[in-house]
Amino acid sequence: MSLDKIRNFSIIAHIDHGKSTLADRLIEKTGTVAARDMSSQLLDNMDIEKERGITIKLQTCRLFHTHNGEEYTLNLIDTPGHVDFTYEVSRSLAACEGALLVVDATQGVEAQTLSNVYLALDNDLEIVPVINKIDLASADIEGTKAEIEDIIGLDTEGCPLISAKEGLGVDDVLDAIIEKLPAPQGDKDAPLKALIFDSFYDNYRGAISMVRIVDGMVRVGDRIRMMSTDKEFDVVEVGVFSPSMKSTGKLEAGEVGYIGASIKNVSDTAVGDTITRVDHAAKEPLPGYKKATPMVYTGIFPADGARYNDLKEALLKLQLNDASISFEQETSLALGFGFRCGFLGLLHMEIIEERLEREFDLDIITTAPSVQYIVTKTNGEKLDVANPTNLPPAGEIDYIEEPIVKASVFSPPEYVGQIMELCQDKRGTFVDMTYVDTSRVQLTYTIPLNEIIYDFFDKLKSRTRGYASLDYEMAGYQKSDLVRLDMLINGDMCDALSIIVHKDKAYARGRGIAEKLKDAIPRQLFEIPVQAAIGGKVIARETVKALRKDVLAKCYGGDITRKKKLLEKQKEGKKRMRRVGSVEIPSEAFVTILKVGDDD
Amino acid sequence: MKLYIHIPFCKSKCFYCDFKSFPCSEDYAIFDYLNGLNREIELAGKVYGDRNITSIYFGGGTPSLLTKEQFESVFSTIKNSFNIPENIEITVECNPESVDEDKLTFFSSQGVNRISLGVQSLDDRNLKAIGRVHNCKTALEKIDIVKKHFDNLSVDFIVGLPYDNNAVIEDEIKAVADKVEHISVYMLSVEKGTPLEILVESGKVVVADADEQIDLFEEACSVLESAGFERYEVSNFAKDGHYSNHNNGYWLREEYLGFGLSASSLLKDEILDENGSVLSVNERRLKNTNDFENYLLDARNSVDYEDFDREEEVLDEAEIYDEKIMLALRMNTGVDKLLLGEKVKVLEEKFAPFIIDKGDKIALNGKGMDVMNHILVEIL
Repeated sequence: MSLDKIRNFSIIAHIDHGKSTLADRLIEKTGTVAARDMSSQLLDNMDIEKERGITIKLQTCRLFHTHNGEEYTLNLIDTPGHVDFTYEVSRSLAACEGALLVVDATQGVEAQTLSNVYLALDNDLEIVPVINKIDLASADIEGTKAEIEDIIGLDTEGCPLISAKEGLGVDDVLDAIIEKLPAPQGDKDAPLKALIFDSFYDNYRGAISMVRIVDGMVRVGDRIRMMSTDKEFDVVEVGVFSPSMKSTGKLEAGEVGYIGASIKNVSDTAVGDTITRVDHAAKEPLPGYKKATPMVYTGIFPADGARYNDLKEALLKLQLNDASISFEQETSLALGFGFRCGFLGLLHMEIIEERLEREFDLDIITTAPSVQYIVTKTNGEKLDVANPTNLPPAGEIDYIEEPIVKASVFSPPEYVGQIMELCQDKRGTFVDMTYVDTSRVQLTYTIPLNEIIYDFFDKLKSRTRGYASLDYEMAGYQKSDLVRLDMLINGDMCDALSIIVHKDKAYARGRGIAEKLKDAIPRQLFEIPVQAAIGGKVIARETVKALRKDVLAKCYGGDITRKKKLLEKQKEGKKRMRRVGSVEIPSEAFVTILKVGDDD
Repeated sequence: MKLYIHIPFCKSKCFYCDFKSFPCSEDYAIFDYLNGLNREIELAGKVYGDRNITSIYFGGGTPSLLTKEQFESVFSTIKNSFNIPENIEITVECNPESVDEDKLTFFSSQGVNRISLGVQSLDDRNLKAIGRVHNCKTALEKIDIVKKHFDNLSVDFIVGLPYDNNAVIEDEIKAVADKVEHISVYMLSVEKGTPLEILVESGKVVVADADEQIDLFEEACSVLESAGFERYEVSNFAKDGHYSNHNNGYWLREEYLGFGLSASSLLKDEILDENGSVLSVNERRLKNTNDFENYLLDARNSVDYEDFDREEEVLDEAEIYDEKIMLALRMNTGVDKLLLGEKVKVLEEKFAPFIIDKGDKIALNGKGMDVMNHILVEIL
């Protein structure tokens, strides 16, 4: 296939601006999937994606389109829209020459519109703006155009005006892809260089690499080598996504598709690696990607301790599909064996937790999310601490640094006061405020990541009635007055409930958690003090009163079975209890601490 | 073997009741039901008629609602189907409003020797709040009438009712303590789907919370103790050894046959070999249907006791062992240490404040009885 008949592109957008809907329309319009097989959000395969209406994993799909009598191959690489998944976006962008930038005409340019544009520009992509939702009464096409030109600096002359939902203007989008986006470069006779931009595990085929062929070609039967590890494999399947996997026998320079080579370990198809052919090997690998850095850490434990190995298997499998998850073994006195897992953000964390429960049928207990702190000890030693339990005693700490982010918030001007108050409250430092136009303000703050992952986004949404949008990027570390807040249950410290928190907020959080725990811990035969403490000093106390009544008194004409059933139920509940000292705590109690706000 | 006969009819349904009973009710429904009941008793008699009967209990509902004739038809069926020794305990549950001198004389003539009276409270505000049809005055009058004919009388009280406080509890127990031999005290439980649940949910009725309930219950226990009553079981108190023989049978796992709607049975059938010697004993718990129409149909269509549609639970050794412990621990006589085996240590180490060492037995003390489930979950 001649390269000038290929276009590799992504769709980028702020969340909810209609990216996946446009992808559906493109697939439908090009007849890739028969209308009867269309289900909404075709590329969103996972149940969670369809339910939440978001894209988590990037997907690819090959479309055929005839333009001016010539047939073109369009490789669409769908991308996630949430700030947590910036890493996945950047991977898909590296496999493309161009991107459609979808902007919602009722919302205009939002925080992630901008961050995605920057990512696309970093990858030297040609960007075509597409204005969506023009059918809605509140659409402001001219205003949106002006924002795209003023804020982003893209020409909106003749840009497609569409309603992806109604199928309006989709032909214009197809024309723009072919006319405005560049064809891929590459030499099919050169040594093979295939960039792995994603990989996943298929139970029958093993680890599958999703690749962009930059140079050369690959066929079934070729012997290939992973350039970072020098491991070699025999290619057993080569194909494209349309959108389900379709074998084609070969892939050539400029194309996007998959390679299956009976690879057992997903780690052997590392995202960012370059695949070459053993018989016609490239000398240098492609630049690859920066490894995704986890921002949020949490302990994940099986609710049933016996399922530790199942949890490990599940995490390994998920990691095959999502290289941005990291995990290492962790042992908690209260929760037993589990893993300290790193995620790109809170949503990412929630989604992985949900997938563990749904796809692997695991009951899990998670501890409060944490960020990674840098602790400098008085002896000069530096430690990375992502688990509050590992924080050295206060006496050994010289200072602690915490990660901060540069957060940019887009909002209508009337909420500026509220947002500034929130940012202040979250220990933010004001950087900048600019009026994008009369209806939009961009506020920039540096804020500790620890506050962002806590409840910043929820609070922002509720204070601005959902109008504000948020984007953030890592902005280094700063020294902070942080302490470890421990929870003592009947005098015994429960490691799984410790959190690292700013000194000024410790009291309110400690009190809030103690109150929640008081309600979550079932009464036992003795009184249980629940205390919050910093370095052994108790700052808040609640009491779980002793249980005095737990008996089924009435016997209805000798109906013993009813009593037995009740006991069985109680026994079942007991199995799910964790022990801290002499106190039994239900797994649910560990979750309640995640729900304690500063104002509780 | 013990016999339980369920009479599922009431003059009106109390607000807290989630038991299968029908506010009374057309005469023909009672007529049909008693036909069914008699049929079940007859069929059971063909299988178990030679068993030694040790007590009979008429429960409800409100057995005292039955007319003399209705009652007599059931009683004669029992006498014809089973061999009833003289002087065994025969109890009839009565409600104050439906019992009178005439009926009591009749009960006595039929061999009934124990009356259990559903008093529940002696505070008229409470009685009204839970939908009881009698008042305090009637209850006290009826107690006196029953006493004329029976020397074994038990009354039921519920604590945790809307107008309960320590003084109310103390007064009501003292009002009857000299007249009755046995008192049962239950804590009010607001069951799902009852009118009381709706009243409580809507805030129209305020009932004691768990802590207040146990406070009231403990008050009742201490008043009863000073009045000479022994707490011989979780909810039951007796003077001078007047225990309920029938109920003790449940805790000691004696065989019993329950007749009527939703009645429960514990049967121990011997499996014999060809020479007639006992190979093994098959223990099972049965529970009759709680569907009125189905029960009548079953009774009409059955030619054998086993033809009735019943929930059946066959007990294996481990279940029998657990039952022995969970049931016997309800009584102040306790459980044999030999039976408890290693559990003795667990009880002594973890639950020392809740147990009484009786030499070869361990029993729960009052506080222990109140949290018995918590202890059972640990040791079973």
